[in-house]
Amino acid sequence: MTDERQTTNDERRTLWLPTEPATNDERSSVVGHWSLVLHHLVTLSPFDKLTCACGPGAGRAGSCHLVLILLFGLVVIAPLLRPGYFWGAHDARHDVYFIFEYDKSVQDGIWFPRWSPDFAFGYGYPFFIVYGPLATFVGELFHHFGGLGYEASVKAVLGLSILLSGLAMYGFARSWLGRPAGLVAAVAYMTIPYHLVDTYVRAALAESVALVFLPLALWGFRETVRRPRLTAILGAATAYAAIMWTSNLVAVVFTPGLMLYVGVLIFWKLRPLPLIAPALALALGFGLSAAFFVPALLEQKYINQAQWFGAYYNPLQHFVYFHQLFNPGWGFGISQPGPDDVAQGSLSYQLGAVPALLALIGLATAGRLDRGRRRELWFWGVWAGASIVLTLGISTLVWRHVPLIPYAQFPWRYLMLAILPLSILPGALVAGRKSQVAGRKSQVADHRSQVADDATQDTHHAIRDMRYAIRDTRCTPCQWPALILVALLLLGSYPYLKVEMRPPTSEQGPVSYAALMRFQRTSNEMTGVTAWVDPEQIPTWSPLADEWVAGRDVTTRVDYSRVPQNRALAVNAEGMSSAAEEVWYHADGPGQTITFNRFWYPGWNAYLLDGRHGRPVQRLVVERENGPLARVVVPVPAGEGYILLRFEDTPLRAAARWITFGTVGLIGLALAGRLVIPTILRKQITLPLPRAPGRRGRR
Amino acid sequence: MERGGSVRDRPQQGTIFRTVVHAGRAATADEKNSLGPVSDRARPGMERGGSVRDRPQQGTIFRTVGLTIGLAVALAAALWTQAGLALWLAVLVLGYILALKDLRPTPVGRGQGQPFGAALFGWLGGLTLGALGLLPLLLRRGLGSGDWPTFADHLVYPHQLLLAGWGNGPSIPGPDDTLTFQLGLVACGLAVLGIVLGQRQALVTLSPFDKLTCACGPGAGRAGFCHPVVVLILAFLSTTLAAPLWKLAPFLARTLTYPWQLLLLAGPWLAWLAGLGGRALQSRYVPDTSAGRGPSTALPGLVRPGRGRTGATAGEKQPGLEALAGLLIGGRNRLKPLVRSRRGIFRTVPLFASLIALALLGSYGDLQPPTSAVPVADAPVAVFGNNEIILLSATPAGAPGPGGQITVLARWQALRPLAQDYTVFFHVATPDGAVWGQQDIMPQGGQLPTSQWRPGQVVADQYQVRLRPDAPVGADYRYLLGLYQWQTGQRLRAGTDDKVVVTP
Repeated sequence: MTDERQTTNDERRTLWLPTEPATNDERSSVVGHWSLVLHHLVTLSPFDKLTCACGPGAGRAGSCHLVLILLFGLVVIAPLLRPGYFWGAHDARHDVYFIFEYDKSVQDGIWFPRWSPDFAFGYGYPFFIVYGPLATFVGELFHHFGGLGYEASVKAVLGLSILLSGLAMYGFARSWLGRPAGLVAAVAYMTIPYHLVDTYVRAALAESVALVFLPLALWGFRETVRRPRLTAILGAATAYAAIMWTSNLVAVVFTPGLMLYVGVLIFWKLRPLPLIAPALALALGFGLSAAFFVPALLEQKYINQAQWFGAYYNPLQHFVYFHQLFNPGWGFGISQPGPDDVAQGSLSYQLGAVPALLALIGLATAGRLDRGRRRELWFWGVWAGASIVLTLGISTLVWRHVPLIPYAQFPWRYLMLAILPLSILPGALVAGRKSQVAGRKSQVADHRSQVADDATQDTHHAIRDMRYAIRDTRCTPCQWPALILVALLLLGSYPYLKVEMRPPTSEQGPVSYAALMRFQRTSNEMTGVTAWVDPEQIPTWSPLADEWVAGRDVTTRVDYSRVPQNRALAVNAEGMSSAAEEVWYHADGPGQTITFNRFWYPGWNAYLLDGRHGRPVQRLVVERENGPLARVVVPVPAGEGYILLRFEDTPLRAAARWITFGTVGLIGLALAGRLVIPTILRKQITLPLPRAPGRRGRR
Repeated sequence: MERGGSVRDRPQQGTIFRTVVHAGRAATADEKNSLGPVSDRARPGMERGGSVRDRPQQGTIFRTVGLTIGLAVALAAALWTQAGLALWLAVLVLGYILALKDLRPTPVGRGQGQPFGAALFGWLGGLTLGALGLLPLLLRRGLGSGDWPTFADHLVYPHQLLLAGWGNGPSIPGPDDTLTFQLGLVACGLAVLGIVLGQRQALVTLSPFDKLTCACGPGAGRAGFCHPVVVLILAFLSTTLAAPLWKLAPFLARTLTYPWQLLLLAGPWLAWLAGLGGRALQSRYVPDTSAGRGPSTALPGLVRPGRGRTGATAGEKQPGLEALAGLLIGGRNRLKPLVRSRRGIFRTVPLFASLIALALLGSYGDLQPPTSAVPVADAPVAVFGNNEIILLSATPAGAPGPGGQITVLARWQALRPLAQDYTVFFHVATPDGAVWGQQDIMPQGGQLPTSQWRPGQVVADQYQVRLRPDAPVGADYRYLLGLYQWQTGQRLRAGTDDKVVVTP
């Protein structure tokens, strides 16, 4: 038997194929294990050495995959490396002005702003209360610390999001399908048409960044069910919180699917105990994101939502037609009602021929995998089907009657869910055997738990099997099939790796207050108002906009048209920042008010100062203007003095913030404990590993 | 519109013709099928008892009868669908059957020699059935008459077989067709692989699959030539290179409306060759040691050493690409090995998926038929571009002559959203080509550019031209109306022309 196998191995070595594992006799032979390793290094092709990393360089396999993903990712983000900016992309203008506004707050020392002072023609808007700030924050980091311009910062974030999304998907797919599958899934995720639409056509900064965290959240929550441990819980919590911080829309759309996934995993394990870990992860995730999502949730009623859900934004007229899922056309326009989006030059809703086909084949051939992964693949097939159905007109009833579904605003946004299985399922085509999938540490842990669970089991054999399994992990299945699939995926999306770089029109840029005002007026974007503004008289211009367009700086937002500037009431602006303003005033008697060109919103507080730039000594009442604009009105006491108007956290927001701080503290404590306790735990849990039979024999 | 109709009919015809080819091959090769991979696998079981042995025999008889009837019906259906093209198909099928006749499998006793007769019977039956169905039509209309000059105008230029361009317009004389005649880069590439790699393998040692599908038999040298030769002959006959041949036998032209219709018949054979290419790739890079031969070059990873629970044992057949070939040519029986061997599919799934994805990718970019939800008028004057704009009516007014003013009232309709702003030209010309007055203008004086036309929207417009003072009196004036892109000057085609001639 040994001779036959030896002969086969010789042939295989001649053919540069991986050889079978050595027997114990071989291990104990003079040649020994290390000579086999050396043999691998000698006989395998350089490419094998690079990617298979058999032998002692096993750790290189993962690194090479990461390098490959980054290389393929570079091809995907290549259009972003072109000079210029895609001013015509849907949200490209918004993105730069979001960072512009964020930067104004940062310049005032506010790193977590809630109020954007210059939106709505300078009346301001609680933008970062209702809109996830993480993507903009990352852009601001590039701008503030990296010295990049606003446009370059947006491009940097988008490019980074593509690369990181690939790595995230690699991690998730690798964890249960193996490294080659991870590679395929990663490239599929980066190159799938809807992801490219998000990046190059829509320039949807928040959604693109959120796509990084979707696989991470799936990965984390899967681990909390499969093998509950602290790192899994913290990873899942952090990833989920990151989704919440990035895009509340994505969070709302994604969470039901995530919960279903976790539920199905728990059901399949048929043990109630794993529920604790994912529940804890979810709770921590909510805690970490409470500072954002609690105000976002509870203060939605304070903004005019009809602006974003009516007329053009009626989801029922933006359903995808079935043929559009497979139409290879590509456009850069906005979503149009009817079946002719692409023909009209609008955006494409295609699933991607190659990912869709490979996903179907992956699903059809899932039967060759073990039961657990087969069922999980079928779950992803159902996920794909459900999310695609939600984009089609046949789901009209669901859109009308199921809560949360219309929150996506456009039905085609559910393609963001469809691209997850359309990336995972192609990876399943090159899924390794189960023993090749689990990492070394997890296999060790699994075997340890297996041994611990069954005291009667022959420990020696269990450990020997474990060593073989680890060896299998080292010799990952070779990469050619994966590379072919990756090449096809890239080829299929290659025609869509394009971006329309063009200079801004005078209404769009270059980035400045004046351009911001012009853009708001011409596009009716970033003109959201609070709930108290008369919907019939939403401002379409402002005196502040006049100043900026005329090239003058706005040094105060006091409405001087309401100030007589005489003995009755005189006001002088002393200083202004993005969320605060200080004025000197003189009033002969009570009943005088100062009106600010800022929309009233909970959180505007006014204080009487003890001097110029002094400390608050008295809190003043802040009223809401009884007029169509519902601005901030501050009644001033008789006499003269300095008043500070400042946007602050309400008790609700402060409480939410403290929940987040508390959660961070809790996690910090847990991590600190993790560093101290493991030595004790390790002594309790760890079983001594007997030596390998070969070595024992040799000894 | 008639031409467009013939183009639209092609998918249906293709299905029928592919079925005929498959039925013909299957009926003839049925016995070989029982001796090929199936019998190879069944042999151990057959040795156990006679009853096991009889069952395949019975199945073979039923299968032969079924396929014979299938061939007859399919051939008749092809004749009733498009008689001329089906005649060419019948000739090819007959040749194919005769080629398979030489394949003498190892003796098995009963049933030997039946498949060839059955196939011939099926072929004759189909032809007779088809002729009977067509008889009333032939008696009523006769054989018809082919218009040789028109037919010759539509011969394909050889380079057009390889052009990557795609269009949805009609066939027009010359090398600038708006209709594509490409054979398909991926199909051709895989077919070449199949010819080169597959033929080499066939010469070395014939696998049961080769015997079954290549129709080589003992004459292995002829093995892989059948299909490429058929493809080459059909492609050749559709090109201008074959013009002398067509001229020698003009009656053959009567069987077709356009010579490029023959390319339709090349499809099944090309697909088979593409499948063979895939199989050759598999055989080359996934070692099959069952015949005592290993791969000359092996891509690591397509095969794993035979160990472990899911590792295939050495020498196991790898049927995945056979299944691919089956899928490409629509052969259901090719899928059987796929089902039988889970190990095989486990190891060849990535390659299988890659080749199918590649085949899809080769045509994916062209899968954009110009659809329109707009009901087209019964008798439009012309359809411009790629089913973009139709001219519903053009009513001229005015007397042409020196200094005369001609007005034409045109009614346009957009069939689908338009990405371009086209310019309308209205020329008054004489037969010698001299233009005596012209107006080039965007619709409605530029107020309603074509990119703003909604599908179905009817746009009425008026164009006015004052003829030059030196225009001839009483000349045969023609009013030319059309559209062009102002950036390039390229006119939109209207059928075989790029303009509409409106008579005064």
